[in-house]
Amino acid sequence: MNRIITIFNKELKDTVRDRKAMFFMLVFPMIVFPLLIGGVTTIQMNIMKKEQAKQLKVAIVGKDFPAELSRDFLSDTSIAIYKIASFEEADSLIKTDSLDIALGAETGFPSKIEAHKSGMIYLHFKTEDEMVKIIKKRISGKIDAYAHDIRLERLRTLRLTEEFSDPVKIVETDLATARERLGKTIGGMLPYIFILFCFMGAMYPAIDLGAGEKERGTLETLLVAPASRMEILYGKFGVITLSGLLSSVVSLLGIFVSLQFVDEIPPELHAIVSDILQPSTVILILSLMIPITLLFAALLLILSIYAKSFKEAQSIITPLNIAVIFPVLIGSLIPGIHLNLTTSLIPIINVSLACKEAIAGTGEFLPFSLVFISSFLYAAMGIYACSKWIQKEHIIFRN
Amino acid sequence: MIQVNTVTKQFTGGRKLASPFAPPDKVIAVDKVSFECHPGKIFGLIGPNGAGKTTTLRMIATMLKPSAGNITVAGYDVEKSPLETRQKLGFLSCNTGLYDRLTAEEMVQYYADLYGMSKPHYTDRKNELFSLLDMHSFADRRISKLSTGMKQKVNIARTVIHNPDVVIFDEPTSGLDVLTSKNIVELIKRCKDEGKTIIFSTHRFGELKLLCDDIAIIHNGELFYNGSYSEFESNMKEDTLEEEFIRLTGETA
Repeated sequence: MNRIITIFNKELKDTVRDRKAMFFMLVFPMIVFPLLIGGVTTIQMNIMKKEQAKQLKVAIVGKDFPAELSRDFLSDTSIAIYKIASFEEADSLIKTDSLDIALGAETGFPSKIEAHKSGMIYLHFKTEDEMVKIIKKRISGKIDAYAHDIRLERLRTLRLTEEFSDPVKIVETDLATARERLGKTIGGMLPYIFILFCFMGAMYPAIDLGAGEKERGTLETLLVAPASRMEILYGKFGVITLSGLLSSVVSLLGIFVSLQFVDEIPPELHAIVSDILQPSTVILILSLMIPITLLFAALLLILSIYAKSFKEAQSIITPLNIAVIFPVLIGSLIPGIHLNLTTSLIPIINVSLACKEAIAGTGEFLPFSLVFISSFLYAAMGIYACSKWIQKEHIIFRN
Repeated sequence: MIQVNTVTKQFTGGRKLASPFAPPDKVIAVDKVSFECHPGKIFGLIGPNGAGKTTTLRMIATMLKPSAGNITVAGYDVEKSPLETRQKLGFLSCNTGLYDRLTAEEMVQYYADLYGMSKPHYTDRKNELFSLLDMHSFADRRISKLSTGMKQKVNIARTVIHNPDVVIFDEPTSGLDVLTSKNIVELIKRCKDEGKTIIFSTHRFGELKLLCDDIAIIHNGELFYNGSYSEFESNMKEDTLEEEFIRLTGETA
């Protein structure tokens, strides 16, 4: 045990003095959330403000456009109205971004309305981004209001009330709490980031403590020291696992920092995220990170010990990123996949789903227990494979 | 004392390109090699690159397991008691590296801790070695900041910090300049004076005459000569050691 501690202490000291490892392990996870949350919210707020202040350029095409609707548009100072003869001309202006939207009524629209028939209003626009949808919504809102007025007038003529045309009214009651709703949306994003940082944080020390040791020529002397290969393995393994876990903890700290210092976060979102980050949730998430970090550490060390050099280790481990990201993505971001008795047994996906449930506050005892049991089992299998691997002469002396 | 008894080491080679599904080749790196190294004497293992010198030394140092035969170091069987064997060993090769982010003293202390040295024992031994090697001026400097000569001194201190009974040198002067090589040669001589068992491998014939009491000539994994250097020199049929080596290995190869 003393030798394991000696090796652990030395490897930890070596890793702490490695600036690259420290950057990926501590600095990057710490700054990424404030940058992400601060950056995205600031950019979003600026765009929203800009779009709200922007005067919409709307073309009215043809002669049969209803006068009431035209007046409504003209009275809105945020809309600039242009009269254009044809949709061909309007379309070419929309394509060059000279116009936001073009409106036109079918020929004989007023007479159709007079005759209590339906008339068609055409909307031409170019959906490039979410902002066009917002513009379209503003225009459609005015058309809907116009249509509503006509409907009321027609009902009045028939001495009927509005209830006649709306026999059923839907009254919705969403029993999900704000935390549950948000937990299922951003709750998917957070485990993705935690698990990814956990992997990244463990990756660099693993390469350095395995392949780096071979490349430096220090492995030979370590193998001649009176420490068994298992003691060497456990000492290194401890530092790699600690590095991965620290990255996860620091990324969580990054969220707290974001909440404290990023002013642009809407107060409702701030309150919900604060509610999510209760000590019990944080402890649960971090405890889920333990078995997955152990598994990552074992896999990374296996590959790192196999590699002849730092460079080879990097080229072998880089594809493993995809093997980690893919299941995390499935678990975190694809809707419809939930934590159940089956998914709780699938490595990586299970932890990802369990984190999501923990954030939403909807976790159940049995699937959670299975996640812990299966994850620790996979980690134990990884460590066992690693312990066999380090005993193999053709792996250790591959170069 | 080191006893190597009919030791063989077989490695699994690569697969042939022509038949990727065929079983991999077996390569015999060391073939039924036997010799003994005695305390207070320097044993030289000489042979060209790929002769099996490093494999033999790695088996003695417990890094590799013999495929057949047995080795004892200071009375311990290397396979049955690897940790006890290592406790008695010091190992230095030309490829031995150091941890750049540690200081010279931290590097030496790391190995002292692995050898389980007590704090007072370590302090005394460290002071003795650091004075002997003139290392005090750079003891707290990071290894990445040291010159090649300084690094070699740290490596020497690391090798003998636990005062081992047996010291193995695997081509220790290969690739080093004259001044740095001198440190190694002095260390080997000092170890001999202290009564340690020393085995060192080299492909430099000049070092044999300078240092060795006993020698073994190895080529293609086989031993071609095993005995005292003086006897070898007196029975030489060629003018130089190099020519004698070629004659010996050529006759029987």
